[in-house]
Amino acid sequence: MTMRVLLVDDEEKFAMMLAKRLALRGIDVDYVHNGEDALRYAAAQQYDIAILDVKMPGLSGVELKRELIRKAPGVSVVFLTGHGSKEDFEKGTAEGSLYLSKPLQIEQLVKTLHELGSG
Amino acid sequence: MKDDVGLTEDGDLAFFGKVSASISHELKNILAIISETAGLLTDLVGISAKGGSLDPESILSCSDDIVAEIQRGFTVIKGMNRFAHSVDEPRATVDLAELAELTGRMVELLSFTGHVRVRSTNGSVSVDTRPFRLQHLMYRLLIAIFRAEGPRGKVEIEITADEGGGGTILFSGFEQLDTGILSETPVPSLASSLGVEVHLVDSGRSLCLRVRPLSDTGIAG
Repeated sequence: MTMRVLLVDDEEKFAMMLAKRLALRGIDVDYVHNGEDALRYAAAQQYDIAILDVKMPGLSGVELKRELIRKAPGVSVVFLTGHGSKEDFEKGTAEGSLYLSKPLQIEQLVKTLHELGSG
Repeated sequence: MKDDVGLTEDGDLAFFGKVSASISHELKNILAIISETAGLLTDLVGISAKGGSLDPESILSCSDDIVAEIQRGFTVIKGMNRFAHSVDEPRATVDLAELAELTGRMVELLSFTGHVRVRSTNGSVSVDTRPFRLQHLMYRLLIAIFRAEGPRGKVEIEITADEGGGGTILFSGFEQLDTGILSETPVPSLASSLGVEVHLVDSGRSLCLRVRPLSDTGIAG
């Protein structure tokens, strides 16, 4: 079964480039640039995984995660952060989310998505 | 060590740190886009090496995106350099529009802010003041405005010369502000240290800063 991935990042070019690179690896991604649009997409479509930027205008990534999980409890969340600290990573992991730092290693992200998608 | 600018007063050091952090975050975003775009180029070349077709338009588009992001990075670094040098002289004669423009760009780097537009209505207005502290005051006020307005807000800053020297910095373009903005720490203390009068006009839909030359205020530079 194809996994459904939603990418939310306010850096429009970053989101577009990442979505293209994931598509080349067989992962189809819908991408939006703020939390409000993400919730709209999530209401219309069931996603297996949400990749969320932590720092965004309006809803932050952490606030968005809470809303997404409230509406779709099965969704797995991967946070993207410009300044990922060890504490962030440990806290996120403890809460059931993963943190990946920008700039990304694409193969690491793909591996993470496949692991979450098959879990 | 002599602390000429007084970075330990009124959260000045925290302001310097916050601006530096937001600049570093912006630069990291730029590098992330360059990294993904270069990665996409590598992907496309890899596909071509395996016999797939290579679309010249896609290559050109990636190249243009990388150049645009590098240019954006240069602009951020230029602003960062000007901001860093604003602590060089505790007291200086500065162009209010240039200072407001720089402050606006720094505020725009924050995730919860919108757009800041600066215009001068009657030419350049230069005032003898404490540039770093005046930036700090404008920064605090802009943040308070955007917190009230939300990230899609737009703030217009208009600079006009006052008769007898000094200038007026008028913030507008937002909904009605509460008078509480004027008493938020450290706004009163910053304004007082600059001899700047801050008040709401037009029933709270504009915020006015009257900047007098330090020599007219009796405040030591």
